[in-house]
Amino acid sequence: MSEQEVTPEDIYLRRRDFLSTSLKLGSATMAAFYGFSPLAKGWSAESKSASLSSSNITPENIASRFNNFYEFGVEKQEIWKSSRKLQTKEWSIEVSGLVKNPQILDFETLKFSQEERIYRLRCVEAWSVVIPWTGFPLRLLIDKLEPLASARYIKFTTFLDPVIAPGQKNRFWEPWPFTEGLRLDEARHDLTFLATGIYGHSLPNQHGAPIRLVVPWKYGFKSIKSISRIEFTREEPETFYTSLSPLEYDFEANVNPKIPYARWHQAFERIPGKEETVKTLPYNGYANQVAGLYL
Amino acid sequence: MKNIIHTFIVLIMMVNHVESSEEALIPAGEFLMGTDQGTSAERPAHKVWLDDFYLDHFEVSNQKYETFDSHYERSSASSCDHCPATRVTWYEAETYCRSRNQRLPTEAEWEKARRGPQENPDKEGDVAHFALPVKAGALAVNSLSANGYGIYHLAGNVWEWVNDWHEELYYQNSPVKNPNGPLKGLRKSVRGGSWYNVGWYMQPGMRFQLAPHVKLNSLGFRCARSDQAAGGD
Repeated sequence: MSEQEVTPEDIYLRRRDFLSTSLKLGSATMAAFYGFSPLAKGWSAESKSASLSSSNITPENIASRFNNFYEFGVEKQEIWKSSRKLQTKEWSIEVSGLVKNPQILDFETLKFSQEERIYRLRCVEAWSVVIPWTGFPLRLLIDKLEPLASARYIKFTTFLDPVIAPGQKNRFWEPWPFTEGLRLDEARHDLTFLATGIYGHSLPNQHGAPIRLVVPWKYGFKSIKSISRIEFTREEPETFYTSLSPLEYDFEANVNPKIPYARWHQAFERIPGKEETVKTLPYNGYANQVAGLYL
Repeated sequence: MKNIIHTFIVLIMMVNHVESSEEALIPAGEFLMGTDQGTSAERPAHKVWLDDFYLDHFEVSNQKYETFDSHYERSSASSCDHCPATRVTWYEAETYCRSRNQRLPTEAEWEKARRGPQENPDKEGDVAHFALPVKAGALAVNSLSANGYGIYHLAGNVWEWVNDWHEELYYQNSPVKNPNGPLKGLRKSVRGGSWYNVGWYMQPGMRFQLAPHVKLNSLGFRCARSDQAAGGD
């Protein structure tokens, strides 16, 4: 989607209101969106997960000015500015490991039907937002790449460029570049999404341009930004946080209000831009869809 | 005549050190310091002259550091006898070196040694201990192979404290001869990368900074010494 296709947020939200009169929005809503073809299956209007509607969507002016992207610093309100140096033109994704065809993917050539998902994003720092993403299920890319039968995990790596990303230079003792991973069954789950757009336009840098993962039932750090490498592995991959602080972070990182995680009590979450604090739900409200993965 | 005597003294010292010391002699000369491919901290690449100096072949090991500090606790990430001593502040590292009539290398000395006699360190990266999982940990200080000066693990294994205070734009106006950093500062320079850093961090010209009281599992040091026979030119 090009910048010319950007729709003002108020128009976008009114559009959502229209849709909500005919659809009971679930954790994700399928809809034709600016000419993209909707997927014909997946998240029905009857889905009750996360109980989202357009009125829940975090205003873009808040969501785009309150970001974690430690590559560009630790001040959430400054990331939208400090991340501007990231060059996303001619972006490529290296595919390696236990896969039929290791290759370099040109981002511009990724041709998948785009769809829209409204997801809650629950940060491990006990705050949450509701974001309208556009993109496609990760499963579609995995199927195209054809991992070998021996592959059990998928590892993601973001870009490395300490010259323009001061966090990667100043916090040199951390294992940059940022990495994350999923079990392959988690990665193939219909909720697991590769986002290329947000609020009806392409991803701005602070949200992880040009392509990022969105795994709504896990803490936000699992949803790695600006993916530049994908590797299929047999063993559980070491990730940025499990290697940096293994006593605080585990690989699974599912949202669980009953268990304090990292340095935060996880029973409640605050909403940026509002005074209210709300209860955190198991699996971030997506238990009906994903709890079966963990039986 | 003065130069001949100086050369003779240096040769005698080299023989003695080969036999009995853990130091490598880095001969006086000019090298290109910094890199134009880095941030403002590394730019511009510029010529620097250094007098003769000695640099330890090895990072200071746990076993050696324990003879100096009986309260020292080894990091689980660098725990063998001959693994590098880590979790040591800049002050502790400096004190250790002083106790041996040495000092920490200046940032220029460290970089010249890292670049090697051919100023072509790329080849040496092939055998460095780097880009591994964090759980891999550090190797013994005398493992793998030495660079052209006979020095081990200047690239990878553990980060190393150097003498200098860190100033972002120091290279804009630093001395051409024997630079030893700003007179004061808040952070000390750190060099070399560790076993879990990727290759970008091991580039010889890349500079990093850390408050001198900080301890890291992946940060050690080695000592240097000026050549007392040098000077007078």
